[in-house]
Amino acid sequence: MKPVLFLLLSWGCTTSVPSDDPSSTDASSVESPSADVNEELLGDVELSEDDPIVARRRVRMNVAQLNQSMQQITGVEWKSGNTLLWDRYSSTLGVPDFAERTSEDLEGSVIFQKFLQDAATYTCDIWIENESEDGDGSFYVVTQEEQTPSVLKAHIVDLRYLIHGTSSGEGDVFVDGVWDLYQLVYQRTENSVSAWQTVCVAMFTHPNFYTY
Amino acid sequence: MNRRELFKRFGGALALNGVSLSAMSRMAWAFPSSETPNIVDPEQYFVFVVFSGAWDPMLALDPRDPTVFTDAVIPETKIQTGYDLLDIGSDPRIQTPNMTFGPYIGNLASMSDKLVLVRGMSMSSVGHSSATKHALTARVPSGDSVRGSSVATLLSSLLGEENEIANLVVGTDSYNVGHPVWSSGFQSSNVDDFHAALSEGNVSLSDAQNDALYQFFERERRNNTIGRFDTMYANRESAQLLLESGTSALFDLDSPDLGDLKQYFGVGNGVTGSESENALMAYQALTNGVSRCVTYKAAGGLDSHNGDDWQTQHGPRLQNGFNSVAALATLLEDTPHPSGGNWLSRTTIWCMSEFQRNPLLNSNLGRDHYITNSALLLGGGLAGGRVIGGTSDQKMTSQKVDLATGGVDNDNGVYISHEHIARTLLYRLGVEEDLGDYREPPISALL
Repeated sequence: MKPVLFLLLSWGCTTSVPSDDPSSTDASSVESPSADVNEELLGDVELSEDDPIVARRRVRMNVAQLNQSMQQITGVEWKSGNTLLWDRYSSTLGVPDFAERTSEDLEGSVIFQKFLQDAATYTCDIWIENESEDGDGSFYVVTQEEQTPSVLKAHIVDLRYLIHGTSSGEGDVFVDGVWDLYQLVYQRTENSVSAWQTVCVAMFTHPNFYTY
Repeated sequence: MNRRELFKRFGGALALNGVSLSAMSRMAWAFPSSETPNIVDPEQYFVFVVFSGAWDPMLALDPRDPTVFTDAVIPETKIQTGYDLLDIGSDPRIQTPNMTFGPYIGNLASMSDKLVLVRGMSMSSVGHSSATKHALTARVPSGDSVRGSSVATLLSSLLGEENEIANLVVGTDSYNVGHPVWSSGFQSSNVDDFHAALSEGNVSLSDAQNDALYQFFERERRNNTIGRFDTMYANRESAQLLLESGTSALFDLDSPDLGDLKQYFGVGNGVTGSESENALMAYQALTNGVSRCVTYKAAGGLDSHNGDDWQTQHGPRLQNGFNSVAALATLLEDTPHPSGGNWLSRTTIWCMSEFQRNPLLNSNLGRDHYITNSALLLGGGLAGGRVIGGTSDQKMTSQKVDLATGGVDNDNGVYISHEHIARTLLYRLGVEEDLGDYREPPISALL
């Protein structure tokens, strides 16, 4: 596409002296600017389709934000025994120690992805267990046959809102993808908890959760 | 097509690392994927050994004769050996037929015929962060932002993607600007974390769940319109594939299978620190085909402005670091390579620090920062037993070097830095094109 740009140059001028009194001005008394327009074609300009769309670069949450966010949503701390694992791996995850590192590495590196997956798997496991027993998550243990797809999809929409903070409309591609994920795991395992756990892990390890 | 093949198809994406897509086209020189450079011998390996905090040349790589550089001539030389403060004898230097070392070179002294010392390098900064980036990338950073990939990343990208972790990094940083995602440094702060990254978490998913997640994220990747997410999806899949690779046992320091190696490297002997574990990891990663390039921290806490720290900690930390290199090099030399020769003959080891410490002690009897630097290389078929360049006898300033002979030539030589060494490594691979944009020639005396 090579649109032609007409560069319209105009100069406006007036010889009237504006009144100091704003109340004296009315539309009819204002002179139009001189329409001295040069319509001469000055040349072609190529607009590349590859020109980048200028937008803010998405930023990855730092480790403290991840930790707090996951806890806020689920009430679960990622730990092994008494060891808090976000703290345990903080150095490897690029958290500054202000001795040798003063800024946090916010890349979505391989090792970050690995530990995020571990954190999500653990957190979802405990969260679903807690919710199924004491909370509002009784739907986790209900078999697929006992619920309609629309009800299950509504749970996915709710989970998405809870984890990603994003509302979903009808026919949302992401929700459809998660629905397929749920169904695939359920078909293979015949276990709704496994299916919901996988959905939960998918949501926490999706960039829509850990970037903003 | 299996998952691994699928992954490799999209894992070939270039790392953006803050670089916009449109900028990528301008960086095509960085990795001309359509024309893989002609590597003379692809069976080559690299180990980058980082001494973090800035090392003291007087204690290892660039010592001075204390009988010449006495306290009486300090006003003239601005050089103070400080040996008398260390309680290690009046002249603790270690003389070998090839070169002279400071007192904390450790077991590397016995390998002097295999070593190349590069002295009098000129750095761009005496700030730890920016100078470390210069050292690792061999390019002067733009402020605090790197202008190129780590040398290890570039070399990994040239040596191919067949290894599980092409570029392994422990204890220090790694950068990838415009090279394939698979050549990015796999960074961890220590061997335990690295092992954990290769192992199942405390709760794991079933194969059915993992396969379903793979399909889900593959679909998300196809529908993705956000450039940065591509790298994240690729890294996510890479992490999963590493879990399935079964390499974690090679790095399990608690495993009795590693007992002999732990003893050899001195792991847990009460003398060494993490550097011995890191060297063991480097050996395992190289000789088991896990990695082509390994970067590990051999010493930290070298920023000895304080006199007590300099007098009691700096030297031993250096020595432990050099001992880890000596142990690694010796074992590589004793290990036959399947394609012939031994592993050391195919592995170039480059010891570096971000800059060096001041030749004058400060008022606290420690040493502040100084812009001159040194490096140590061995292995990889380098003709050892040589010293390239030198520092002056006044203020230990950088001297110009005749790149053909390696000798000091202040009339016709050039100041050398990490750029020259990195370019030399490219030449050793048979790559004459300046793929790292180092804009300096190689040190031909090393070729």
